[in-house]
Amino acid sequence: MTKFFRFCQVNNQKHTTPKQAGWLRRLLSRRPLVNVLLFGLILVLGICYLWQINVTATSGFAVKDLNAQLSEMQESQQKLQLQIADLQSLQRIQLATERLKLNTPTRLQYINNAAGAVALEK
Amino acid sequence: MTWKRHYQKDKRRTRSIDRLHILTVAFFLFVVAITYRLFDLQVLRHGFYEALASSQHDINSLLTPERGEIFVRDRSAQGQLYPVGANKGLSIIYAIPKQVKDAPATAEKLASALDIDQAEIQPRLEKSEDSYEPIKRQVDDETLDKIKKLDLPGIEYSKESVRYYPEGRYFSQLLGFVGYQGDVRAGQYGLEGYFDKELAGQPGYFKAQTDASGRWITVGDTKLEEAVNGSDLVLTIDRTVQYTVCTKVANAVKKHGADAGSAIVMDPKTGAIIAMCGYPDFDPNKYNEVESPSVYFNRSVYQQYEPGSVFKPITMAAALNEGAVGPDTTFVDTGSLQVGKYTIRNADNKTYGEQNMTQVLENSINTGAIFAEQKTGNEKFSQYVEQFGFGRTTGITLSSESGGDISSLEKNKDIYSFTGSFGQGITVTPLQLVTAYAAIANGGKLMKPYVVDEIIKDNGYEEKTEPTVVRQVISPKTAATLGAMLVRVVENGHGKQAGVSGYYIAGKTGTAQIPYTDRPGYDPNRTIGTFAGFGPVEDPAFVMVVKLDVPRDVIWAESSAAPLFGDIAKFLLNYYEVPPTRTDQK
Repeated sequence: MTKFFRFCQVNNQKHTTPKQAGWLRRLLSRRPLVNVLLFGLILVLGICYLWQINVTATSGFAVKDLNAQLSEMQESQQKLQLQIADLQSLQRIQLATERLKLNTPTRLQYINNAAGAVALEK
Repeated sequence: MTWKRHYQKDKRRTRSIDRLHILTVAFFLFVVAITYRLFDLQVLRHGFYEALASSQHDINSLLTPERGEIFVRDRSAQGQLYPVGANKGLSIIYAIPKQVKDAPATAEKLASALDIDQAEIQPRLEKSEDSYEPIKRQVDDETLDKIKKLDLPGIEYSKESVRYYPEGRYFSQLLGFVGYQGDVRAGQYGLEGYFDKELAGQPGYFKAQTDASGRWITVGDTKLEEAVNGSDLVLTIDRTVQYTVCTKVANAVKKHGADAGSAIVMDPKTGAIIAMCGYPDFDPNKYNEVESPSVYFNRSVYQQYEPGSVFKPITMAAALNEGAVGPDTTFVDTGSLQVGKYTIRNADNKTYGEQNMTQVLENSINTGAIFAEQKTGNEKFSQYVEQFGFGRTTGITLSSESGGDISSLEKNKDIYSFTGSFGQGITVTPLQLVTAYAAIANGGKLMKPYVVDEIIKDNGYEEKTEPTVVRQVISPKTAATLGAMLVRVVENGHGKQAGVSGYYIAGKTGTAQIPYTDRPGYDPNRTIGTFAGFGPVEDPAFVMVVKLDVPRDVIWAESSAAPLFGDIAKFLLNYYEVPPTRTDQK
């Protein structure tokens, strides 16, 4: 190695400014802080996930209860509709007409209103 | 001494190394065993344990669909639907004999609450190894509450959906019922049988995981396939007309001591069935409590019989349409006709002399019908009979429809065609008759009969049935002419009791003999009386066929079927508020 070469080497070392490290590099170099942040983030996300699952599960129980109520109401409605059908059945109506002593009309008169308006005769 | 110390040191080191090795090997073997056991449980027998655990923390349910309901309308309440086939939620009471502590005492309490004999229940409760014994089905809520209050160990209940018919026997043969084929619920006869698949719907499936309390976990592995409920049917039947017609038919059967009776009322313009009744009938809510399963069959579509003189208008329609005869065409009746070795006579062996075609229908002259058929020709006559829809099913959506039998006409022999011309030697169903008469009432257009107006699917989609014209059988002129001739039958002929004052009613009686079942020939003491007709003839509001099988007090249809027709016709004209059209009768 010549003196000149050696001189150049030393000179270069004196005048070279070290490259400025990036913000990420600076951050990551602060290792204890990053670790704490990451751990905190994982903890928070985990808690959020558990909370969401819990809410969904409890909502599911509520939905099931509501479905059970709906089924009960549908059952009640069906029973009421059947009661209506029974009460409206023609056999029942026929028995009612006999009980109430109603008569079948035997003579019908059709009014021909082709002439126009009609009025009750005094 | 140093070598000795080294030797002893080496020896101690060797012993300790051996124990260490043994321990290591033992530990290693233990780990291997554990690992293998885990592998065996979790991999090799994974399926088995998964299934075992599944029964503890999984629900696997088949979702039963609700059976579709059947509705009818009523003219008095426009827009309202009345259920005639509905579903009712009832319960099954069953026992888990393993859990029953005191069988006799439990049986006694159950017998009292359920109104069953204790001796019937107790043996079921004493089957100690059994885990399920049904006690009673179709238990209503009131009885269920009584059972719940008893709080009997080993006695449980579950819900079941049961078919219920609010109008009872008035729709029985039309609807059929829901029974069992093996272990499976299935519709049988009538509409329940024909539309069983559509009414039944499709089952669904539900799989989920449960927690310790048995509640299903939403966020777990859930599979749901919703059940598809059955489609609802809306019929063309009018509820009031059906009730009235069925009541009148039943009363007529009882009055005349007949074996059976039936009636069909149809809208001639559309082919829609307004009423369809048969007697004897049954209560579809208690379908198993019948004396004979023959009551399940809908007589209007199933029973084929020789119609007799009620078929003569069909013969006349063919002859008129061909121009072979006219209403005033005459022939001379000698009372009988010789065909080979056979002699065909008129009813009651009467002789009428010179008669025109209108009088042939008025007096129901067999030889006159043969005259009209001869003028038409055997082949043409056979074609017209087919064109009117005889000899094949109509395609109505009801189970067990018969097609009748007109195969004798295809032989193209005089004896078969001649007897066929007055309705003997061929068989038809009441539905075919009413459809043919509807063609006469409808200007010659044959309509396809139908009884289901709408099918409403579970998703709300409505399938409406549109009236279908099958074919133009006879010309409108022929239909009008024949209609007028049939009015004369009611005015002057055997159909007087079918008439309604103030209206022109067209129709024809038919008193058909019934063949012997064990030998050739016809039984003179057993007849089927039929009346087929429509009215008012100017603009028919209805067409109807009534039939009484083997009336005991009268022979002729003019005394059995005709009055029944007249009674129902009067009701129909008032119900539909059809004003009288005759000025000479009010």
